[in-house]
Amino acid sequence: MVLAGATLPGDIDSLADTARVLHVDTLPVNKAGIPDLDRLEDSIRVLLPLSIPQPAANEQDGTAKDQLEKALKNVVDAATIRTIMDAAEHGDEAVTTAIASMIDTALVSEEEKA
Amino acid sequence: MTDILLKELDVTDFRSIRGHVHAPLDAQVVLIHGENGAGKTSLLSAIELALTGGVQSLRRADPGYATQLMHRSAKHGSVSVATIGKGAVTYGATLSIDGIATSTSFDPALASFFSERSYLPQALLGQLLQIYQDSGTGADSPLAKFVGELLRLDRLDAIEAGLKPLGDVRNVRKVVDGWSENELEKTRLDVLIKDQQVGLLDIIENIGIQMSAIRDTAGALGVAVELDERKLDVIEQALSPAQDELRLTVITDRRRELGSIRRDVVRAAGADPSAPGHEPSSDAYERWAATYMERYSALRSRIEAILPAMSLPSDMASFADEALRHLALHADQATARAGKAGADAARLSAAENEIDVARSRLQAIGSEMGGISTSAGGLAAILSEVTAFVDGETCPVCDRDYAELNAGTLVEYVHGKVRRLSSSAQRLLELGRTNTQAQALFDRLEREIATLTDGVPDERTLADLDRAAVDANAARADLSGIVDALKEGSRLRAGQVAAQRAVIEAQSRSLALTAGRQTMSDFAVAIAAAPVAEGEDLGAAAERIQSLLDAENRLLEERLSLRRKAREAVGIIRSLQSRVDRLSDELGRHETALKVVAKAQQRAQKVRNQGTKIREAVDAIWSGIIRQEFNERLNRLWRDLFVRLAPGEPFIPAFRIPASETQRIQPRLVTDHRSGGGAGGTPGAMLSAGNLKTAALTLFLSLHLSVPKTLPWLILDDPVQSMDDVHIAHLASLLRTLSKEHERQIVIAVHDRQLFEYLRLELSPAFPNDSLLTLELARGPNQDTRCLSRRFGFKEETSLLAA
Repeated sequence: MVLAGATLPGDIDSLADTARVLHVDTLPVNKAGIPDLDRLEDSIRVLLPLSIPQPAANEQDGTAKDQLEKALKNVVDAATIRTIMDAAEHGDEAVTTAIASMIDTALVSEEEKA
Repeated sequence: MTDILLKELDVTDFRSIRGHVHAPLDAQVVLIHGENGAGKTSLLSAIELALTGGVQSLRRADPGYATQLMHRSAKHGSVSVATIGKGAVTYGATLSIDGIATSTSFDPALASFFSERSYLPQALLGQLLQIYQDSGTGADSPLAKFVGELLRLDRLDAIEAGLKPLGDVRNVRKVVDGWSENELEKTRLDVLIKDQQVGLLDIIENIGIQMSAIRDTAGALGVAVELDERKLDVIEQALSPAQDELRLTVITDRRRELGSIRRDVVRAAGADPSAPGHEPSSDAYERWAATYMERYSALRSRIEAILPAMSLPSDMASFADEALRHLALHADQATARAGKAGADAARLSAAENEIDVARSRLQAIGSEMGGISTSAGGLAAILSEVTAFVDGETCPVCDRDYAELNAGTLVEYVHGKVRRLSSSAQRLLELGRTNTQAQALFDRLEREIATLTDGVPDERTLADLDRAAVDANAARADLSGIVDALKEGSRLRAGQVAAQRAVIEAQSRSLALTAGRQTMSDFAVAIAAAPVAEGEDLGAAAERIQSLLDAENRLLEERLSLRRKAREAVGIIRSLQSRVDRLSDELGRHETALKVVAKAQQRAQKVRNQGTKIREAVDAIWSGIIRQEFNERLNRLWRDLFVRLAPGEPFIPAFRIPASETQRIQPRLVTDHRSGGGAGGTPGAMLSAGNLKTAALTLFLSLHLSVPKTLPWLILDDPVQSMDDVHIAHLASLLRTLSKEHERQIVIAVHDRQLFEYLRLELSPAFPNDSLLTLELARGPNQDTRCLSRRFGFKEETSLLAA
């Protein structure tokens, strides 16, 4: 049952004794004269179904990888990115080891040439 | 239903629950009622303990809570929870006075999900907002955990954490073995190169100093030198000391020559003035000889005759001394010999008398000894032995009776005889000794007489001795008389001899001086000096020439010293140049090495920069995703839930991520006004107490619903305190939605009886297979906890259908 318009205070109270009453205040009107329907939705939200946005964890991660490759395309060479990404499968320590090994190689290779 | 569902709970003596309680839980909604202190919270925390092995809210309040878990009247306690559905398992723990004895529980990830996302203890409701508001940005912060669960950005997280050490060079040193080494090597080379460059500059400056020293020296020497440090051989050649050395050798020779000439001249000039002083002594000696010489000669001849064996000195003075001494000796000897001859003659006559007396005494002793039998001693001995054999008066020899004589006893007679014989023997011994003595005296006297007879000179000899002594004494007296004159004569004669010798020497010296003057003059001309002028003092001329030579010598020595110094400088420059070469070589090598090291460092740095860039990109992406997730998912859900429960509240709580450039996001709790217009203050500042609880409850539900449905349980401990009726009605509605629409198993405890009844109605089963359990906790007569359960199944509403 939906009641609209002016009611007497006593009517609502007596109704509340036997049924649940969901009170909706007068909706504010914006500059264009259109009432704020979001406000209405908020007021009756308890009656609406609850939609839970589902996480898409794996997709996120994949997206992240793409984003990363895109962001670093012209900054870091692809081999380095690939090495780091591969190492990341095995956790942060593997990443540290990988980057350390790369730095070490960069340090050593020149020395060996010399 | 495939989801895991709580089945039943068994609690014994846990916290406020006394005794054993069995609570079935296998329903979509479990509604628990009990008065305050009946054990509702204990029952719910028993579920947590059984599943996770601990009670999070108690741990937060008291880290040593485990020993307080058991009911205080009990010695043992236990909790156990059984689940059905996906993997039916029984979890549980036993308690002792020491705390939790054993437990079988979830793995840590599941346990933490339960404690943070499924179970909302009453205590946490008031703290939840504060916990999230105060949370930091670390990996362990509740928000970070939530984000991790929410997004599962494991790889991005791994990259972010793995590349984190690159940000700080100290950490880079730790993880990259060669980094420190490379840095140290670079620093070492830098310092080394700097030192060597400074050293090189020093040396070059030093070379400059040495060169200017050479220039000064060359100027002083008047040598033209091309000051090019690469032409050291030429410089050295120019500074060669050969000419000056040659000249110095000549000058040295000249000086030596002059020295020799001067010595000659000095020797020639030596004792010149003393020569004529001895003239008078020659005359004096002549006079003295005229007076004394004859007398001296005579006396000398006389003395030589007296002392024929003596060789006397020719000098008169010493002759006098010697002769006096020997003459005295000679006279003494002659006198002594004459005296001794007299004494010997007297003794001879005395000894002849003594020997006559000794001879007559010998004769007397001989006659007395003849009268005494020589056998008297032997007979006396035999008789004394015979005495032992005399027995009575009969003679043992002749057997005659002595008594017949009547002259006493035989024994007395024999004894008397023995005594007589013995005294004769004694006397004979004494005479023998006296005779020997007299004979010895006699022999000695004989020898003495023989000796004296030989030694005593004859009268003539004695007379000669006396005469010799007298002659010697007379000569001595004469000599003593002229001894002073002889000494004077000796002195005068010596003077005369010396004077003669001096005259000869003076003559030869004068010749030498003349020659020396000529030599020196020649020498002066030879060294290009003025010759010795007539009348010029030879010493002064020598001094003049000497000073000329000395001056030139000094000059040459100075020049040589300058040359030596300059050449030393050349040597120093050479050694400095070789050091410069060596140092330059080393410097070159070190610079090459430094380039290598620096290049390696650049490459490593490049890799590090790339790593840092990757991390920055990861951060940016991560932040982007988080921002999106917070805004689009969590905040939306939270708002939805909050508005459901508090539709009249104009301020909506939300997480706000500041749009900052910092990589790590730091969400803050804010409130948004429903009509827009910027963020309000924190929920704590903007919301009423009831709505604050609502905000916390809905945040908890949002967090639970946002993440994947790991455990589909919502266990709420009296969440409706200080909520008004409208809120409660809406909450009931929300719970129903969650239970029916989203398949969450709801366990909710309330203390209010009316509320319990209201919820029982609101949440009663709405379709087949839907179920509701009510548990009522109460205390028995012994304060035992009792749990009364009622199960409500779905009943189709027939009355309405009928209507």
